[in-house]
Amino acid sequence: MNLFFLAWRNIRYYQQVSLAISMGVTIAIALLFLGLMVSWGVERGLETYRARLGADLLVAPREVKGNMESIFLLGKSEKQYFNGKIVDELRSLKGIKRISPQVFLESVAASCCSAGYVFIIGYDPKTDFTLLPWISLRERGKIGKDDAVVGANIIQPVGFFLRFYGHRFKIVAQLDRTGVGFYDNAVYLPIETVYKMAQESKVKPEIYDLNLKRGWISTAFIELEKGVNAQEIEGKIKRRYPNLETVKAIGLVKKVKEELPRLQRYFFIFISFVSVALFFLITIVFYLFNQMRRREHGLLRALGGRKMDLLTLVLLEGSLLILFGSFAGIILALTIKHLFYRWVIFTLKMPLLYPSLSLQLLGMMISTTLILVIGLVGAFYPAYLIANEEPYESIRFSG
Amino acid sequence: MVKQKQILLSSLLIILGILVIFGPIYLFPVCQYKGMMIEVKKGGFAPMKCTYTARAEIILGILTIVIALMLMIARESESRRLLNILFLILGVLVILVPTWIIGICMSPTMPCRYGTLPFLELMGGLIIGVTLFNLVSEL
Repeated sequence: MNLFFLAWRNIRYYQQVSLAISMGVTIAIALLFLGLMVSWGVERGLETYRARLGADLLVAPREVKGNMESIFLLGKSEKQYFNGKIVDELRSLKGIKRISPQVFLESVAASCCSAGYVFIIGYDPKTDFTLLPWISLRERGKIGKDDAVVGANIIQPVGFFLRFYGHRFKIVAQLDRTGVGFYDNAVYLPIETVYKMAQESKVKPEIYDLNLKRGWISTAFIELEKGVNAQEIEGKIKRRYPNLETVKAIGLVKKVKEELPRLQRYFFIFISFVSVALFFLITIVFYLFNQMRRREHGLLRALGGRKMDLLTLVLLEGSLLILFGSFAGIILALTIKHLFYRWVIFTLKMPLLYPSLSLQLLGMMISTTLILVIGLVGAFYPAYLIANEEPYESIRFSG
Repeated sequence: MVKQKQILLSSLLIILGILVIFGPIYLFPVCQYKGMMIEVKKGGFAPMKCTYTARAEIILGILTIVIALMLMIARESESRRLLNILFLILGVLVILVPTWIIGICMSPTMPCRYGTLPFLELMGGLIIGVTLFNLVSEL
């Protein structure tokens, strides 16, 4: 009978203690792995956020300024509009390369809509440069006036229909996940269709009034010419249109980026706390567990087992329990990570896109190795104590 | 040994039952508890689909607790096996009520979709997991 087999038999015999130690490790490793995934995920989400915005400047009504993060990060609608004629006037401004308007709506939770509180964005297919570049050319060609492009979090798949304000829309494309609410939680409709819906809502009694005038918009995305100073353009727009507010797209990213070190600091404190707690838990449990088994260990020594064999056996038992716990912890963490993805975004108010598979595997390896090292260091002292005890003492004091 | 394990697993199921009852109200509340209601055209407000899901989950949670108490005192292995099968059905129902039987709101920005749904799926999964462990260890 080799030591590995003996360790395995011991674990099976002391089921309850083994289960308790493994559960402690499961929780610790799940927390560690989830923390790593969220921390790396926010970094990746920020990169995607910056890449996907596409625009340099955003123009919106002054009243919306404080809610820009809720609109873009979480995908929550705002019903503040301004006259879209301004877009044509701005187009002639020197330094502006491209400008495209968008209208924000929210569906109502009533019979006119298949889903309530959905963020609806009306985009202009002729000028858009923030949505259409992310759709394949083949799909782009298929978009008609009653077709919708949906974000990754909209549960209806391509080919299905959605109903908003008495209109039926066919889903023709679904965007890839970005971790940013503005793209993941929205339904994109051609701006002309949105105006038509708004007109009909005024005359059809069964439909809720959208309160949107033709030509009015929620925001305008601006791309500047290379080398143009964004601040200068911002100043010009603000002077000419005092009711409007401009926001630098990079500013939205920067604000989240400034929050990231704080999140990572909390994560580090949290990990340190979990690691120290796990170290003490394993040391105490192993100490008590080995005290309980003094007679058994004494007999093993009396039958010819060496000190080293006993030390190896106890550490082997610890390693096996930590590995089982790690396996269960990783499965638990993967489940929670998948299920609570959107909840984490809404709670942290940060873009989140989980890292690639290779990085996730690296995260699993880091978490398991760290916990294994902490566990073995914690188990070493009780193991050393029991291995150095005289067999006679062990047998005599165990009752 | 069997008795101790039975008490441990039953206690775990009682905790899960309590979480199923109070989770959709306090921990991961459905839309109504976040102040979101359907605006009725004639005036006034009505609760959304997720409110009814939360109510159905209260019944499932109570059933989980009652059956867990029965499991705690059950002596025959045959009766324990039958109670475990009931737990499996309850676990599946905890998941099916928000996903299929009643459903929840469809917008991804609603608290019931990003909070309550994953919570109930996790709880249902844990009830099934604990029950399967219990069934396998009885064999």
